Amino acid sequence: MSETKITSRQIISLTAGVTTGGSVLVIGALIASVAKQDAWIGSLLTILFGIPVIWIYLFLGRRFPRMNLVGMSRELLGKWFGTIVAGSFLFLLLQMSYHIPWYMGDFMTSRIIPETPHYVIKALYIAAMSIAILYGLEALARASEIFIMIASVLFVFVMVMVAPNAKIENLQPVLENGLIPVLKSSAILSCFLSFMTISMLMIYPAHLDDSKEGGKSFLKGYFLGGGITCISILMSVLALGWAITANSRFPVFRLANLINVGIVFSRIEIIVFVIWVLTQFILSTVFFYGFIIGFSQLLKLKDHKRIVLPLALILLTMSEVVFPDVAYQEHWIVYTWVPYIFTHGFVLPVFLLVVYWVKKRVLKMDIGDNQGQK
Amino acid sequence: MQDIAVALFVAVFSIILCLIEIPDLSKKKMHRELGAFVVLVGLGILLALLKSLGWNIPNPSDLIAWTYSPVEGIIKSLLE
Repeated sequence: MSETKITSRQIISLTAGVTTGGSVLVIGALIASVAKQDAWIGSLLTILFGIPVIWIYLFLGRRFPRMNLVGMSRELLGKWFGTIVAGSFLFLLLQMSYHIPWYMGDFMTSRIIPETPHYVIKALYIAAMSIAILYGLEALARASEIFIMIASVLFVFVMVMVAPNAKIENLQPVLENGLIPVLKSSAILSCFLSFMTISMLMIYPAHLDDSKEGGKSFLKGYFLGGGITCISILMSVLALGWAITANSRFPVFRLANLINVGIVFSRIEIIVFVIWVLTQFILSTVFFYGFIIGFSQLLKLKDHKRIVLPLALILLTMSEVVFPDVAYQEHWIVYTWVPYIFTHGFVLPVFLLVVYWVKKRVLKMDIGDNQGQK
Repeated sequence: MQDIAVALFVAVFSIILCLIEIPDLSKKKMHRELGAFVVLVGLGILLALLKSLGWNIPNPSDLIAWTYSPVEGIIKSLLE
């Protein structure tokens, strides 16, 4: 395929961005409404449960070091069935690439600049995404390194500033309702944290020199992103209490509202917004990039950059259509997104893994290219 | 009103894009890219036009929601 190569350090930042972007601002409310004061245990368990899932992704990546998910499914499932499966996965990537501009427009117009038309915000955001992809994957990866650094520093700053408001009573009683609600909450959180990294399979093995080193970085990035999400949920419950966390649309934003040191340090919740935009940008651009790469692979296009701008126009219109209102979005994200990402982020790779094992062990077929290994 | 402005923007942007890309693509004999490009630009203009005329564009979220409606009960039991 292409000769674009990125370093394993950049895999850390891309994975961390994808993991954080999907969850850090919004999802705390849902988790807190299910697990109540034990939401933080749920999010810790989620990171733990994610490890086998990431292991499956890494295993597939190591067996096919020069392919992305589209190539893998076509290699394993045959040309026709593989193309259908890959097409369904690409559809998910496309969905996400216009959901995120919708969130951006919604958040900006409801919290920060209410009189600006949301089309303008979305158009600027989509323009930034397209420019990132036109510059190429290396530019995106390098930018993500800087973004993650800024986001982590700002995140630590916000959490330290919030710390005086934390009340340990908000966490008590621990495990009041038993372990079941905690497990349920971590099942939901997995859909926004661990399964999101499936999009990295469009980048991870194909654009990397050393897929073993890359695998370690993948895990490190996952832990970094998961840690940020976990701490944000913990601090929301500690400082706000689970009831307020569960009832606010953007719990972490509300959390930062609490910061008020004298007159100098007030209204710094915008910092939370900066963290969110930076990680969200990595997330949406990785999804959009994955879609464009996979789509041009299915159509056998030589130059994927030619279809970026026409697709950006489609994203602009679709980001307006996709959720008619907030109530629809909140219902959709729980009742549809959870099973949707579960089938593509968990069932699909497990299915590929089983097919791989059957073909290799039972049918003794020579499958997977290992020339890049050893 | 906003939708009309967006449709105009999309139309103007697509025309400029076509004027730049189509001669270049056909000169380099990249016929597949040319085909994909024309179809996608056409789709983009069509969607923006339909939106500005107030027509209902079929929402992919509805399609996915319909596909996964049988498992709604399981999700409900997760939320309790």
